[in-house]
Amino acid sequence: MNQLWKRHFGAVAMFIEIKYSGFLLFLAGLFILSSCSKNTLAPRGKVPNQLDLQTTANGGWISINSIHGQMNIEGEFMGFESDSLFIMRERNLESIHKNDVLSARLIFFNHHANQILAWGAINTAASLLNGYFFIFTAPFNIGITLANYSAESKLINYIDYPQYNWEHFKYYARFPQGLKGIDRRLLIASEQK
Amino acid sequence: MKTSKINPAFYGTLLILLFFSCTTATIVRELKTTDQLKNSSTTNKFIKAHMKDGTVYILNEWHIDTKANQLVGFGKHLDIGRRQIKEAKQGERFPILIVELDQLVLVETNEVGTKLGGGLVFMSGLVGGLGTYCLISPKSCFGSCPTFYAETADTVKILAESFSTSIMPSLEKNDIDMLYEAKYMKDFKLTVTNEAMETHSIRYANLLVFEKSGQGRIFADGQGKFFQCSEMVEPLNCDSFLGDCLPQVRSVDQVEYFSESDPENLNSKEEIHLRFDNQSQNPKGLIIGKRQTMMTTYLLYQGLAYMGDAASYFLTDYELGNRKRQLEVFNLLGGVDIYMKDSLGVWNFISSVSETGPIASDFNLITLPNFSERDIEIKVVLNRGLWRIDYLSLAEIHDEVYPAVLAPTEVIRVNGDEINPLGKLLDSDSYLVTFPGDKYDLHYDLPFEDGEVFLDAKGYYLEWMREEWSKEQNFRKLRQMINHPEAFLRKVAKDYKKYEPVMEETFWSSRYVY
Repeated sequence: MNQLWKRHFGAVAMFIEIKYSGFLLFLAGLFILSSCSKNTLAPRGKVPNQLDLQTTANGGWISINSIHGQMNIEGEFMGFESDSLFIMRERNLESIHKNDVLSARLIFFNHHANQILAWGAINTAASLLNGYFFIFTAPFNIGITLANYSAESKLINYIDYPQYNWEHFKYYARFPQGLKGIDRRLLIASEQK
Repeated sequence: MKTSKINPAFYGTLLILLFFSCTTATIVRELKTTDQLKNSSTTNKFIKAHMKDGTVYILNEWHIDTKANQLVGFGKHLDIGRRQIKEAKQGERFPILIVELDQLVLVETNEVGTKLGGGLVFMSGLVGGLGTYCLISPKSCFGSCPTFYAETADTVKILAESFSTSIMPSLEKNDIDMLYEAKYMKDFKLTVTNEAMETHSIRYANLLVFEKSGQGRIFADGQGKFFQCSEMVEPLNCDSFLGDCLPQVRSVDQVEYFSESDPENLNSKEEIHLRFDNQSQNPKGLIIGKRQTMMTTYLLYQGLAYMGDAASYFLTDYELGNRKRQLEVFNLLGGVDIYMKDSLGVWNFISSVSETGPIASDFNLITLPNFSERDIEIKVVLNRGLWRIDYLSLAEIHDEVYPAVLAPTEVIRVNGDEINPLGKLLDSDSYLVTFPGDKYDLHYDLPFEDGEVFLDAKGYYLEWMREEWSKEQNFRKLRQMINHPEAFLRKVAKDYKKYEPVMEETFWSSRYVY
């Protein structure tokens, strides 16, 4: 009965035959790659994806840990003026003096590693439908998925203060030139429209 | 059936993995001045031209017209809110956007790289902060610790809880609390109690006393400085998402403003907007009286419950310094952040204050920058369901003042085993150790006819594990609490909701009192 079942469902039989080696390889690869992942994510929709970085003009997503021991300030990084950072948080423009910042993280784009992984898993599972060709198509799908996941998840998408000085942060501000000369009332009104 | 050998495709996959593993890719963003732009090639497909007024042009297929001193190209012109003002597409009748170079401040180029590029490694840093205390040293959230009672105008009540964050010997520290309602008497008495299942080790309990002059009060600024303050005025408006909060915050009366936690996520912020009449040009400060709700207590207990029978192992490991990981669950909840609106409408961050523990309100002075407008607008940002705000006022700040430091002159054992409690408090190398139900009266001789009194106490305490907590031992959830605090705070929100309405009452009724 068992052999009959295998003959009728060749793909599944093959899956059993190779003792889950493809799946294990997938997990091993995932482990290798996730161990060297270097990025983190901003809230959905707050920063562009990698390719849209050059065609959008908003600031990165900044999270600030103040010297007072709290980490409550998060929002779009607008830029600097004199010794203060300006952040747009929930349609309000806020500032914090550089001396009040203990640490900060600025994320400038979000990656899609998780989506790639999810679709890769679906593709790999769908390889079962290929019958005996599964033995070729599944590893191929796994390889492509992991390569893409690897590339995506290792994109450098953030910088930290104080590891990087403030000069680096201005590159990812909405106003890299600083806020001097910019009508802040207009800016606030524009956000609150 | 025999096991098959792994076929060549697997080796191919492995090769791909090894080839791509642990390389990093980088994004290169450059900023150029107008002169640098003139000397650069047009190979950058997209550029962003940042203008003096804050608008930006995103251009492709661009070039510089040196005669006209203009940058021209196809693309979009966005306003300072980054809404599109104009778009010029190839093939349209008047396709070109013209950028006057003398209005241009910076040009930004982006090289987004290939998906498989690599090279530059950014080292990420662990963000830290006081929140570490709360799991490594959970009491920053637990409201018991040594409690101090004093006589007020009409009763005796708890006016301070000391060194709340010092839940292990290595975290011993001093804590200064204003005894706001204490009745000033030459023979001043504080009663210190241990009302929880804890061991308290008190190194000292001194009073900081200031001579009082006039109607003003003295407040501490959070950095260890004290200032004479006067002319305290209540807000003209106090608006929260629950509506008018002025009745709750206008006076020190234990009628407090507080909100319920967000049922979807304990890490959820709210804002209170205050408006004050700025009656003079003298230096001003915001005075805030507040304590925590039971949220952090709940999280502390939950953390200990997850540790279960291994709690002593974990805490010892932290004490020995073997566990360095910084925990952010409590950091994410945060303190009370103060912002002030400037004349341009910008909310400037002023300071953040925090006082752990749900037992006694503490008072802080937040110095505000000089402001000449008639109205002062303040924004208080705090975590939903975490704080109880009793008092908010604007005060004039005068001179910095310095206290007389007074140790107790007599300690009377009401309940407890220590036969020489005064000696223990006066000897800087020893502790007055108390157990559940212990009570001591501390007497001080105060020097002035009238004055302001603060308590400065130092020590640490040890939490006793409750048997019922051990039943919840769950290292997987503990790991989530430590390693994925944001997800944990979302997940635990519903559970907390079950306890939130009754926790305050349950907490107060569970005191261990003789």
